[in-house]
Amino acid sequence: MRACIVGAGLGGLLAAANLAREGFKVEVFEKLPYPGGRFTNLPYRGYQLSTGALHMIPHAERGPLGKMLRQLGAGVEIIPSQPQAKFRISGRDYEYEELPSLFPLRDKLKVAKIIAMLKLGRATGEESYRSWLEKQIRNELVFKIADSFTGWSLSLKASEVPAKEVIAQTKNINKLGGPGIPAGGCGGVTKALVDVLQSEGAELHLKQRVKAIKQKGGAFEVLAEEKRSYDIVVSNAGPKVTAELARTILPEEYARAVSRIKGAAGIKISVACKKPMLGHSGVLFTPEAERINGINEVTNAVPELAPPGEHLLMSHQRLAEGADVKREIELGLRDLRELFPDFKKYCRVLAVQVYRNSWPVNRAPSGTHLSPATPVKGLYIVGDAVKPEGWMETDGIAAGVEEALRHIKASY
Amino acid sequence: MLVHEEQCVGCGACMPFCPKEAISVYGIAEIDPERCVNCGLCAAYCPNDAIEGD
Repeated sequence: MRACIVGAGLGGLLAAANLAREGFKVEVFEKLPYPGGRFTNLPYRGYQLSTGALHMIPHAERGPLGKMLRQLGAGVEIIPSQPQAKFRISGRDYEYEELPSLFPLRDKLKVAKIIAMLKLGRATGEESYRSWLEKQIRNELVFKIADSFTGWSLSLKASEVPAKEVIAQTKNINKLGGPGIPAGGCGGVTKALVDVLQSEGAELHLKQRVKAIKQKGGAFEVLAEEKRSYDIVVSNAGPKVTAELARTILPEEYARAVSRIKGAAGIKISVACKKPMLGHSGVLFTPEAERINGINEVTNAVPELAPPGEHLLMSHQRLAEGADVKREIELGLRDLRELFPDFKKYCRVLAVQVYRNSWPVNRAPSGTHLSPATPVKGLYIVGDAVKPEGWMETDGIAAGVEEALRHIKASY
Repeated sequence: MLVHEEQCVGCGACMPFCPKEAISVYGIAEIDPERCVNCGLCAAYCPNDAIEGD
């Protein structure tokens, strides 16, 4: 069986490594000169910036990605964040469990109830997380905390994500624990996966763009530098590009449906720090900041992501559709200066990176639940547009790959 | 090198690869024509086909 993987992002690499181990003859085509897509390192002035992700895996070694990397024999240590998260409110940092203590008695009980409901899981239909919360409580701080969580992890406002999605995610956090930082950052994971591909005999072609996916005589014909034939095709190029590449074989309704999907956008600011500004390896949620949803300082767990003695701090903020990008960046930078009064003294902005349009945070917003199976038998989609319910970020990608593999195993 | 503004998202992938540190990214990429030596590395590393030789 021959498998063609279009795109060497995290989803493509995971699919390729799994299929190679299952005995498929695997070829991966990547248009860029490097593998990893939005999940690898960008070395810059001694710091390991990233092409996308914030060097964090939502459920560390215990989630779908950690589990899959272990099964593949990709030796990457993922250091659990300690603490998992804190919330900066009125200048002080609180743990999740401490949040009810911030509210007056009447609301304290309601907040404790919301936390319990998030844990036990109750919500149906398409109701948004925001309107689900509004039924329990009317308190601006609660809504801001919710927005900071969904903004950080999904690049969405609480009003843009279904309540049942957030509840499913919270259940997974309660069950599996919070984030971790891979040794070597995103690039450490990508390198480990490329090593697996090599040892399994899969071929990785860089700087080779796939131009068309067609079918001929019961097989797929993929046109890259040359025309080659495959039994299955797994595309990590995103649903829109995939529909475009395979336009002669996919039904028009499918192409129309995926063309309507709007990705989630965001802005990441990477900062070089002369001293630890957070001092821990968890997420600092910033509900009261104007734009920034959260911050991490990964060098507290993986010091080699910055020069010796220095730190790498990264902030993330959701970017609303149609917003003035330069103004959003200004507001993000102002947040950083306000959150850290000694910012000017110890910190230097290394890069401001925007993720939108053809290079977004997520190609489909969380809660979309696009199936990895397309209407064409043998053509599958992986990547951040294909996240099963309850799984966010890179764990969502791994869970989507798992689902794709289940479809493939059932048919081949 | 020329940046196509409607294609560039401002992801910054080009910036670290520029041997002349001619690229600054703030919303979109800008290339300092005084420093640029037209080596084309930025275009090769751009995920969005937003940079071309001039």
